[in-house]
Amino acid sequence: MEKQVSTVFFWIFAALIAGSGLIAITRRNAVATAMWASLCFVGIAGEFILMHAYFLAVVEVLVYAGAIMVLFLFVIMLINLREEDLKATEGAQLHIAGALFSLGFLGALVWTVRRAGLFDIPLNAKYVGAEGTAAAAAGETAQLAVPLFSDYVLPFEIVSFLLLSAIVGSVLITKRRLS
Amino acid sequence: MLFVDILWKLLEIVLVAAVALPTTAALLVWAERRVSAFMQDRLGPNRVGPAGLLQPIADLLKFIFKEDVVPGHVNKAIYILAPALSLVPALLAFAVVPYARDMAILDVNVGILYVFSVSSIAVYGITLGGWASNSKYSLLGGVRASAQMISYELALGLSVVPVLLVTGETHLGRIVEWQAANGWLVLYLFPAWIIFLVSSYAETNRLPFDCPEAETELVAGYHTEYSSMKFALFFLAEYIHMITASALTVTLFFGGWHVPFFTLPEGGWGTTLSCLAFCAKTGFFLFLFIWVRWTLPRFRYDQLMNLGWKILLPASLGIIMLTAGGVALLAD
Amino acid sequence: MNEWNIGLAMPEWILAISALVALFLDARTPYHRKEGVGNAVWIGVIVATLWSIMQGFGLDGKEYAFRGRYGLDAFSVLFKVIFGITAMFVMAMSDTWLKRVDRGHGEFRLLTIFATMGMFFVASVEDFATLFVALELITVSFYCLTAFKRNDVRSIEAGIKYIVLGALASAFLLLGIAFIYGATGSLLLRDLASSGAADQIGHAGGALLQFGVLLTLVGLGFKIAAVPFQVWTPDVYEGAASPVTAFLSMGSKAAGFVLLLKVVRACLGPMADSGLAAASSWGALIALLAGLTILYGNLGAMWQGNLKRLLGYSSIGHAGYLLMGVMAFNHAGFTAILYYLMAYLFTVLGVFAVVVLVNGLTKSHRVDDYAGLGRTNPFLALVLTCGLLSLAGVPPLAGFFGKFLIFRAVIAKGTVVAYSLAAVGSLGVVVSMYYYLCVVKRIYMHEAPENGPMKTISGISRPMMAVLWICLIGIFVLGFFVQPFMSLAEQAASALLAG
Repeated sequence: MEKQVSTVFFWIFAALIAGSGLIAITRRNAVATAMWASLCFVGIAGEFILMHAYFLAVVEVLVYAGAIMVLFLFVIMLINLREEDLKATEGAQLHIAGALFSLGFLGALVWTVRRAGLFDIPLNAKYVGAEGTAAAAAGETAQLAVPLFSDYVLPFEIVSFLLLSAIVGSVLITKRRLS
Repeated sequence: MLFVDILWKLLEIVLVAAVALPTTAALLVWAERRVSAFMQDRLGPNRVGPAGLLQPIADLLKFIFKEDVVPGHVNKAIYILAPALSLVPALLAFAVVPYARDMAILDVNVGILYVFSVSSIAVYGITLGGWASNSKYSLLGGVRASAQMISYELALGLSVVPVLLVTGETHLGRIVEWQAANGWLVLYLFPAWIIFLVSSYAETNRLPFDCPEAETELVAGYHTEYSSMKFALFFLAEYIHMITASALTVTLFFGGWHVPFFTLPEGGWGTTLSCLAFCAKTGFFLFLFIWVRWTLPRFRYDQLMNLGWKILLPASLGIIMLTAGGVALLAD
Repeated sequence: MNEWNIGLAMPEWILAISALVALFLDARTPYHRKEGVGNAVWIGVIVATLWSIMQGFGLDGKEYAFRGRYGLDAFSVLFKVIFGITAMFVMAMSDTWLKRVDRGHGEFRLLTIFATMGMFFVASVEDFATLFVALELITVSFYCLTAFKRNDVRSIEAGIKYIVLGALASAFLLLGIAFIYGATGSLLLRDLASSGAADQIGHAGGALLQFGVLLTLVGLGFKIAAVPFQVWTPDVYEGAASPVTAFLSMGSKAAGFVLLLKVVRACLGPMADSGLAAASSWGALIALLAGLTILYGNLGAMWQGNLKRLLGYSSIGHAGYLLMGVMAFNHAGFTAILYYLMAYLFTVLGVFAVVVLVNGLTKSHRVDDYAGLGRTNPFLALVLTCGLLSLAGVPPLAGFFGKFLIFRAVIAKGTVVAYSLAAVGSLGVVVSMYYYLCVVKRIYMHEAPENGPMKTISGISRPMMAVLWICLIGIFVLGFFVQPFMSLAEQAASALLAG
């Protein structure tokens, strides 16, 4: 019972991710794009929940939908593009080339996954309700935190400098007067 | 999971989300008007029902029967979506709050993060409502709201980190249990609580931080162009956010359902008493919201940003470091 | 291997501390007195480089830190020294260049040192997580440095092009890393080499691994500006400030090659060792990319009237030659790459030092405006000429020997692919001869235009003078006294191959 329900939800979320992602990249209105993209993130969070990765699910929403997309919205609203400005970027050939490239990439992905035999593994066994995942999820935050602050402490520290660099850089570029 | 269990859960959800929270919000509106009236040496609404208690119902009827104006210049889809986007996260966020002993709608390990992630979505409603209205006051309100809520989310989140450090839990129920065993966290983390309180006022857009709808500058801010039930949804959302914020303050710092110096009996009576304790504490903080609103003037926008980024954020980081140091020392 | 051994990363910590000190000083000092920031950054880079050299002397095989996620061997030390010297040269140039701008002096130096720090980490990368964040540290700093002149449309355009394409490349890189992790279950490079990755090629998991490696190479191909991921290069080289372009052409490219070598060594090494058919098809792919890159870069450079654009195309061409060394995939090939990069360091930075100085006078980068430089500034003209000839690969100079080693390594492979690649490479050299000599001709044969901007440049700062001299001497020393540098490169290549 639980497995079937999970499978149904898996496909619902999968459709949500793919559909909203597709709509997001085809909208002309930047606000609509941002909204659909955040719906896409919610779908991804849903998939994480199905894998009993609650921490990741929550962080996905918190960081992507709740912080990054809101910042995007903020900027979009400040810039306030008009319809005429958006029309200027039209270019049919570029769109076709982009679509062809994306389809080609999709084909390569599918081919790879098929050749690796991942399609043969039943969905339930791999992603949903696997034995022990629920138990593992209990200490999940700790499971993520311990490697982050032990094995991966070096990349973690480098990231802090990366962010510092980004802050310095964005102040430099955006601020009109540096005094 | 049995069918009956699911039915009970659904009943609980309906009771909390559709009955308890809106009713409390309605009472809160009434209380706000009465308290403000007393503070200003007036009487406030006292005609409908005993002491004016039925006033919210009259208000509701008025909202329902008002004409629902959708201005011609708005971005229609988002304009209609925005009030719902504002209300739903407010209701969702309450799901993990342990409102009585061993009782919460949603029992997840990452409860506190869940609250943050859901309430971080809440900013969409206000921001988009302001943008879709396509008027300058609304837009300014929306821009202010997104900037303000992002800024104070940081301080709010960081002020909770000491709680996690001390208790070692992200599960709200177990945080309360820890407090029942070791004493309320406000005793250990008083400065963190102050930051949490201030930030939660900014997150709920309440005075002294109600810049997104500052009447004197922006007419009514992000909901200038809204009328009838759509406006009521924004209104309701704000009050439910207040309830959630108060409930969280109680849960994180004031022992949740725990009653000090008194052992709750086992079984149903204990649970009921614990729920009442929780409601009483939450009620006090709701009163504090009103009290503050009618006492303090509004911050100027740059002052608000300075407070958030230059005082609260560094202060909460400092508290985290001190707490972490303390926890590490005591752990040995 | 499971020890923390944090002291091993001392050069990086020195850079980090000096960056933080500089940040603090920058926030504390008023706008006109940013010397403190400059001093902190200078001291940091010098001490870090010296420390790396000292580590190189005391090094015994390979040492690990951070539980095996940070490694130090002859290869990393060599590159740290290269990055340190690059950073010093670039800082000397930017000290000169910054006198012409009136904003962001402190920020410029901070971003430079952040990028340098990323490069130092890159040289010691042992797993994909560190690889990605260190590479991003470099790239993000460069995004901001590229768009530094915020009032200059071309600088902003360059910044936007760089960030959009860079983000795309990062996405490919991340997806590739995810696939590699999915196939092998480990982020450590050495696990890849030892986990029977070669055995997997024939099996199901092999598809995931190969696709992952391919995507990773796409991401790194962007950093080194190999065809078909090169489109950003000319615009960014032209739009960015000259010291940034110099840093980009040496530091960022070398960092890309460090990672490319490490990843290729870890992923394709096992394949080549076990003589699988897949190895030769990977070799052919890299050869194809190398050939295209050489042709694109050199043919594109022929039509350029802007010296920085020309150098941008030529830098694409040089990425192609370096890829030839990757294609050779053996000790000789890696040694050749390392030698080539050492030679490239002095060559390209010498050229850019002159570009920075001349630009201060002429405010332009047009090749035409270099006419008569030989008369008015004979020393600068000499450095520029030697640099360009060395880039072209004219015999006694440093660049020649690098190219010679690379061609020798490729031809020694003895396959049809190798021979054709060598042929394409030779064609590229001939073409490059043409456009470099065109510039040289302009410098010596053409009169400076009447009332033209070119005058004698005076007041060259002492560090700048040192850079010019060191580059000039370096160009000759690496051409004549090959042996000591050759043995350095050989040691580093052995260390890389030893894993």
